[in-house]
Amino acid sequence: MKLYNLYSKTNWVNNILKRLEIQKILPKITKRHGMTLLKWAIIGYLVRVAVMPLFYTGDQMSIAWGSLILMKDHQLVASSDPPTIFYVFSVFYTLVRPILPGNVLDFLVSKPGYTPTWFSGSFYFNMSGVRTFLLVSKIPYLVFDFATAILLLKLIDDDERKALSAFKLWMMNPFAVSICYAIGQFDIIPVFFLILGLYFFKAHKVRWAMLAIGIAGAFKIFSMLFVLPLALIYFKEHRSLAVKAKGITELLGISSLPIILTLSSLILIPTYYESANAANPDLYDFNGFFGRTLYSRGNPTQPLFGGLFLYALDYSVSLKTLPTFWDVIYFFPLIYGLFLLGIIYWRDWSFERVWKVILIFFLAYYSVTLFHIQWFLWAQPLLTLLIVGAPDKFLKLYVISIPLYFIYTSYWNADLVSAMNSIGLPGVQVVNLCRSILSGVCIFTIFLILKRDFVRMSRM
Amino acid sequence: MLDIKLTTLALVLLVVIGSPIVYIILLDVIMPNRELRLCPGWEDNTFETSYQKPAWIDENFTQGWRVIWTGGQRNGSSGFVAEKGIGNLYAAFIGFNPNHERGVSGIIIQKSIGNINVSAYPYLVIRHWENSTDPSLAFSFGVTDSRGIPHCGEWYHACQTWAHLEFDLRKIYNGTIRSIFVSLTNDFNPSYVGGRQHAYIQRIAICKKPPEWILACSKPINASISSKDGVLRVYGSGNVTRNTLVTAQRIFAQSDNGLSINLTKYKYLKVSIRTSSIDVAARVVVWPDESHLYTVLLKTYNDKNWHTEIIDLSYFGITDGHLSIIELGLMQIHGSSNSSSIFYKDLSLNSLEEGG
Repeated sequence: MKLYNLYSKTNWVNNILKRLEIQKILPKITKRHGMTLLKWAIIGYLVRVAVMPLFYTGDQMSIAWGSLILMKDHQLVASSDPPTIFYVFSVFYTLVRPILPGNVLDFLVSKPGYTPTWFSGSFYFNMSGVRTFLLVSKIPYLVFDFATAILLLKLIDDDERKALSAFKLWMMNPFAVSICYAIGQFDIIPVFFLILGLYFFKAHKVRWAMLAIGIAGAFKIFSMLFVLPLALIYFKEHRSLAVKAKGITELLGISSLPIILTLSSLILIPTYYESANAANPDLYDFNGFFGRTLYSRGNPTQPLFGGLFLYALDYSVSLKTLPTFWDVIYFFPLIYGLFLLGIIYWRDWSFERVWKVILIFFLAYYSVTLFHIQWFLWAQPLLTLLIVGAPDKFLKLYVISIPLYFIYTSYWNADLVSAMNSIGLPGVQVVNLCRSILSGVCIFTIFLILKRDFVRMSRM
Repeated sequence: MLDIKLTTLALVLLVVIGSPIVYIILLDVIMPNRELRLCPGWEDNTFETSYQKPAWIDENFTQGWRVIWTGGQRNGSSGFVAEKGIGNLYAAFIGFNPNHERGVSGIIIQKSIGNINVSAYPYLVIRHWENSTDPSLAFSFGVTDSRGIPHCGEWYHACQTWAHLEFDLRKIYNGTIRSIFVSLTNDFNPSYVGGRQHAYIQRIAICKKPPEWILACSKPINASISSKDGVLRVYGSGNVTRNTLVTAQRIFAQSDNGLSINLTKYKYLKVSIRTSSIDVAARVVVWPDESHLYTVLLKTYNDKNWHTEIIDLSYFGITDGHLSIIELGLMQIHGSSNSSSIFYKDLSLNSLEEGG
């Protein structure tokens, strides 16, 4: 009797969940496959936890340092990373400060100046308590990572088999694990908001979709590339040009709000004076203030804006038409132009076509543009949807891309190249070779998607 | 309806919270972190900028010097004059001098300095440069004892940049001396033909302990260096224009062949810096030898707090086993009519060690 009464009273857990209306947030699949999902969630969690304290990079250290400076001194570090990430982490560090190792905090906020700057990493990674710091620092990524998994479930909620496969695939996604928890980059946050935007778009809540994509853009500007295409698709059925123009303008405005707020904060929050060593022989490492001038990679500029043309044009494959003339064709803008034109001319837009055309754009981007290794995460949720939709077609390509990607990362880690050189292989050329094949895999995937989903369209 | 059992929830929470904690503990036990620290192989935290009780010093050369010997010279081809506080010793070299047993040409000057006990004041310091680096030329010095017997010092090759000569006189005589002599000759090659050559002398002193840090300035402004409580101050005032350099140099004497330190191991230069304004940059320069210099730090700060800098000298290609000069100074970034100061403390060369 007493045990039965105890059980009745401890059903308070379910009562609380009912009051929070958790039912509405969680996908329908959790009703029948809750334990399976929980099992895979735990497996995914353990894989991530295993990686979290073992690795650090200069990027992760910079984000931690900038956030702690904001927390301690209320000043913003001038960085190519958006201030939004520092806001998020400074709030997070404030909340978890009691469990952070004090020696690591002290080192990051008041560390000496090092020349070269990456030399500080040697001290950082060997400090006692750094593993705890690394693990705790990556907890925000866990939240967005698992939230993305739940969004994937909701996006394919009508097919339980596919949803389950997508969840399992995401839990074991090697790119998500390495980018978020080994490299420690924050791309999972804009990825989550982008997928959230697509979720709202599917539910015909286009204003919420634009706001979500705008928030993603406040973390990584790439998301803003999809504002106009989605707005064009949404208003495609309206014949009145005035309605279209007004509607698209409104949506562009909504999506810009987070970025406008972020940029406004730059005026309100003083800039942290990070001294740069003008004697540094490597201009790429010359970042910070010298005198009253701010330098980024050796050039007097605001680093937040300095990268726009670099990433959009300089990183792209380009063709010079006449060697003695300045006519250059950049592939990235060319692809984006084709992307927009395709959206304008195609009429039959299901939600499936929408996310697939976005995925095509990502794959085309990876195939013709130098991309930082964390940017490969942007396409992963959509790739997951693609694979579970037709695993016989796309799973092989996905598996092939895994080693190719990790060899590609050698561009930023010379150890593999050195190892290949030491056994007589031309390391750089091997990496270039794998990168070229990866481009081929991306292009072939695009071809398959187009053939399956776009060739038999009704009319243009 | 969602139905979660309490035991399930408890297990999940145990895994979510407990597994990272256990994992970290295991990692720290199996692979404990060995913290890195810098271990000094050489350090300077006193910054001696003044002569420690000089028994005798000459920085203008206007009185008391006389030529005591010339060899292989014609009328007017050799002599000694003082020009704006610099002693100009000159002689002509036209080949083998048949009137000398070794054929040497040149000039020697001498000055009486009173009776000085070398055991109490052992260090001779001469700051000089020559207008030629011909290996035949020799700059040298010596002292005479109370009986007038000369005791010659070492020969030094001519140098076209300021050379800081520091010599322990006890190596040649340990007693009372009463005069000092300086010479410019072709002792390295008596057949040398080079015409008129000059040696310029800025300072000669005999002291208990010479200053380790000396002032150098790129423009005629009011500049000084001083030290107090282990802090070196580099100061400049009076229309300090852009790019003006004021520097404290620590020269590791020619006679010791520079500071001999294993720079492959002790390659991390560490120093603490404080500046007077954002318009003046801290400047640290390292000379592995007298003809190569590396600026390893040029930084500004927007506050008046102490900032510690750690510099990997190998990053700049400095791997030689010797250091000829270290400079700690300031460079004016924006012209100012106000004074500029930079403070340095705790200078050291370090190795990177594990543990502790």
